[in-house]
Amino acid sequence: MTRRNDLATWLLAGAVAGQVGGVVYGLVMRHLGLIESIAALVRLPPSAVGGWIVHMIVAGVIGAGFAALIRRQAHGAGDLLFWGLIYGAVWWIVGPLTLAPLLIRREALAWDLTSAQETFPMLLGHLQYGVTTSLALLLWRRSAFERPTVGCAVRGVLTGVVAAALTGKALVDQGLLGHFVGIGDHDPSGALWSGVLVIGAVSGLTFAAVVPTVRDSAGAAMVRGVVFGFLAWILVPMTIIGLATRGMLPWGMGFAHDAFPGLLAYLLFGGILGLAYQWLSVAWRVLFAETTADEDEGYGTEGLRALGRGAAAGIAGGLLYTVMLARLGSFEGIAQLMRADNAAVGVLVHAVVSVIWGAVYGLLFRRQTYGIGSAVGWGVAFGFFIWVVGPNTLFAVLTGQTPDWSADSTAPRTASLVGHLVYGAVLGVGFHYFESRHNPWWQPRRERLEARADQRRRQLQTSAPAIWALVMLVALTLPIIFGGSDEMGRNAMQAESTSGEERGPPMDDMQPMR
Amino acid sequence: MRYIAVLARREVLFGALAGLLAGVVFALAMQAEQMRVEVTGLAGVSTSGAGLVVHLVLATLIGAVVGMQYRHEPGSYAAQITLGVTFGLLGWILGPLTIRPLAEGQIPDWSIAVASAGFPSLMGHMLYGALTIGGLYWAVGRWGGGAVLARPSECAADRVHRIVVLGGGFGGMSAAQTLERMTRKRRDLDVTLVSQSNFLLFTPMLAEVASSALEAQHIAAPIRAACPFTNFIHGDVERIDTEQRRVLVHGRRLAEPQAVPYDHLVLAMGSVPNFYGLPGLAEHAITLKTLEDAVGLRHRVLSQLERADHETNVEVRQRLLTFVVAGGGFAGAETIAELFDLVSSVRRYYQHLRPGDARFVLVHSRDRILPELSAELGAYALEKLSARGIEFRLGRRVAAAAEGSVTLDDDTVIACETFVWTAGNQPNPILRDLGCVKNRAGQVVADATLRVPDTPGVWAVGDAAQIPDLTNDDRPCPPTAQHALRQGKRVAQNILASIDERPLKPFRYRATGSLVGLGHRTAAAELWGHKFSGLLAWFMWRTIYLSKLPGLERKARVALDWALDLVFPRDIVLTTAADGRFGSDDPERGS
Repeated sequence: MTRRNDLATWLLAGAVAGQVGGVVYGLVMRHLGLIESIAALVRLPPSAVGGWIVHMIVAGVIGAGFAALIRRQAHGAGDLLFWGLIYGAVWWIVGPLTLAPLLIRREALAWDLTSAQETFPMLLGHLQYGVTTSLALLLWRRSAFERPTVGCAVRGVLTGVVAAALTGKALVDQGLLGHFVGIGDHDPSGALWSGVLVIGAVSGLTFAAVVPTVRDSAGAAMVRGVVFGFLAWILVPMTIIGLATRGMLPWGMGFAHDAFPGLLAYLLFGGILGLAYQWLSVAWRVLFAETTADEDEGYGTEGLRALGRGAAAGIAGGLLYTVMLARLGSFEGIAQLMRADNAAVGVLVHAVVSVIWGAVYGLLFRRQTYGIGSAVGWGVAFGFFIWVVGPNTLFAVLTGQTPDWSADSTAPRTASLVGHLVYGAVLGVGFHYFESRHNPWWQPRRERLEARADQRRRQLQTSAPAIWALVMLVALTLPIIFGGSDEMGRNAMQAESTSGEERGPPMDDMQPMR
Repeated sequence: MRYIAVLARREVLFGALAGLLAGVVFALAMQAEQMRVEVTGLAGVSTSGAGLVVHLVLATLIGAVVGMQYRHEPGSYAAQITLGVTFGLLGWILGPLTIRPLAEGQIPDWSIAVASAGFPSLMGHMLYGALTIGGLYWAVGRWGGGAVLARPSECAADRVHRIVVLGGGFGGMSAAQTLERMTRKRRDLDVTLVSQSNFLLFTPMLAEVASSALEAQHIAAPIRAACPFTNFIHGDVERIDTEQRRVLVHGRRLAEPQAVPYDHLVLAMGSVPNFYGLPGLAEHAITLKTLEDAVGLRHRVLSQLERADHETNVEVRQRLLTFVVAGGGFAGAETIAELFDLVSSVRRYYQHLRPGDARFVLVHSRDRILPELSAELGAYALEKLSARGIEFRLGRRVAAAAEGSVTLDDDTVIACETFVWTAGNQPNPILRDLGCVKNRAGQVVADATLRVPDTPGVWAVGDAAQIPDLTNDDRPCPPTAQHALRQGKRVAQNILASIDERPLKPFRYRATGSLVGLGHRTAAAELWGHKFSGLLAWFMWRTIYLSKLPGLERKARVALDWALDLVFPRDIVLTTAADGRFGSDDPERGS
């Protein structure tokens, strides 16, 4: 085993795994008609053979890089998979948006929105590459990861079906149930529903296989679920079903733009799946496992403390967002939650909602953060998820409307998205501060407690950092890619420069933020 | 400490350098994208040179701040770089989307249009974050520095200061808890608490335990749970050796006493009842200082009711049903009121007991009860309690006690089987052998910083100490829980200050007021100079003391006890067959 851990072995394994990923990605590139152009990377004339050779070499090198990076990380199935995803996403930025323009077109970088939109298929391709490469590495390291038990599988299927049913319900109301399966607008029928539930069951089973036992808090499981949902969206409706029903990959901006409700649905689905899976696992353990010595003082003590700390941090998080809401005059809109249209009621509702989400965060992320990094990471991830749950879904449900998850309706909610991310960051840091004041568990003062603290600190070695970055990346780039345009940006900047100190009038499509 | 400061400076330097380099790369990339307008806007300077300078200064500063917060963990490069990406994205929200508009005098709106325009900058921020933290990781890994997450076994301090706290009452526990809180981040302290009981007794509620209104365990907070990082010794102090700086402790169930060495010793042993050598008191009086006392008193009262119910001899019966309390202070008044409540609320179960059979007598040496409160409230309490039928013997002292009787100083003999003594306390007798200055009552005399003069390393708080009250012309602080709590906190701060060679601060606390429960939904209170009485004061008594009760769990249990007490009768279960430590008073059984 020691030999298997040295750098050279890992580089070799990574290169081979990268080749596996490269074959899959190469087929995708061929499918998209891009494989010939790759030859231009080394200034060869465009040709399929040259393209393939260059592509495979590059894939191998990048795969070796992946192996070198994650060699010191934990090698569970879930860990490798999520690291593969973020690695692929980063290479989309490094490759098509940075190196390709520099090397192929010999021009500046392509960091503008239009280029990002044009290369969107490559983003999906790179994510696929990352996933395939990590799966290949996983196969090599198959002794290192935990085998799911029958109980895990049962829990996965069960929670998958429940999560799919809940998400499906939200989609049916919008007339978009087909998006969960990836066949676009379609009348809900028995066959469609069974498709949704089957996808839910299979996804749940896969989740159970990837993350059999979640060792951290329920909140972390939820966030892992969100990222898993993102992966499932790429794999199921955007790839497998797209290929099966259309005979092509629906990766173009037009398709992806239309499939955006499906993305939100899968994020929601994943979050519910992760949370329910973790809760079911805990219930399972509480009911059926032999009692074990627990270092916690029980939910009555610890949970109530967490609730209070979360609520206090929620107030702090809501404060900054309040300023934004006031500036946009959104409080009347928020007041609709109480069937009122008064700004004062809106402020109150906003404060109450901030406190409630804060308390929920406290319960879900108790003893989960141990430094500013993890505090921001989990906080922001939570903020993103409640943006999906709150303004995009629950707000409409509670005000008697149907949720609207289309890209064009979601785009104006960017301000609300950013607000939720900031809220999450402040919430996470605030909660961490309150927790560290009392009894910072990550600084054990008894050797007996070291093992537990070590286990928690190991989250830096798990896929947690990858998950934070992925959530941030999905949260910030995808709504902008789908909803924004450089045109818009230029207009905004012109308005800024012509009106001097005064910012131009709000965009026509700016709705009150929810 | 100085060493840590140097290390901190090193990683800050690395952070600044990494930030600067990442900033240069960022600027070059933005230049390539012709996006430097993003940057210049911040300073309000339009020339590209000044904008670049601002950009680089900011990049360096942010890198330095990252360096300050950075905690190194070997082998975590992938995690650190990814963390950098996350922070870069967050920085994009904070910088171009929020702070820049603010700096330009606008309010940010975070709209999709602004976000679209800032997309290249989003990419740049990710790159900056990854490069800064990645560079920092590399530099710290290469040249050292950085606060590594420490394990206790790895942090052997040069010199460990041993702090020993004697007594687990309000003063001692508060000192230990404060030390725990203040020393979260240092390993050079070793705190030991020695206590006769393994819990903090919430004495204000003791009378309610005696009257069966509260469960005994519910007013006791376990010390081990409240101070999880303090070494706890459940045992009695045998001797304090200030010469060799050690305490001899006789642990429970240990054959040999163990020596506990100290650098700093906190005397917080509280007080024990004082019978002033009066004949028969030590044998026949019940005191109310400990949880056992309260449980024993409840047991005694209920046993007397059981016996009186079938007693035919009128004289014996009257003796069984007479309850005498000596002392008209808080403890005495609360005890007599609670005993009255207990007897009148459970009387219905005893078929031969009629209203008025039981007799309650309070003996007090002064001419008014509750001297801690103003005369007005004292009179109110006297009137309330008298109206219920409680007798008062004011201006009288107990002279002697015997089997079945109490003799007052005017030679009145009150025949009674239950006699509670709350009229005198004295410091813990262990302190008698201590070679330091003591007052007439035997309290250790400490100065305003809670230090015991001429005895290095010894500090004193609570009832066992005489401490000048700076808010009251240096008269001694009253022996109350609120003073002991604050003294414990101050002594912990002063011990740390003396270890770190900082100046000590004097103890200064003005009491907010006091509350006394008078049973049956009445109380008297004096808070911030305002007087309260009756139901309002009773409500205040319950809320304030409930909030002071340590631990959420105990609060919940006591609140539940009180709530149930409103709708259910009091419990008359006698849990031990024999009469406990008061079993000898059963003349029929002749034991």
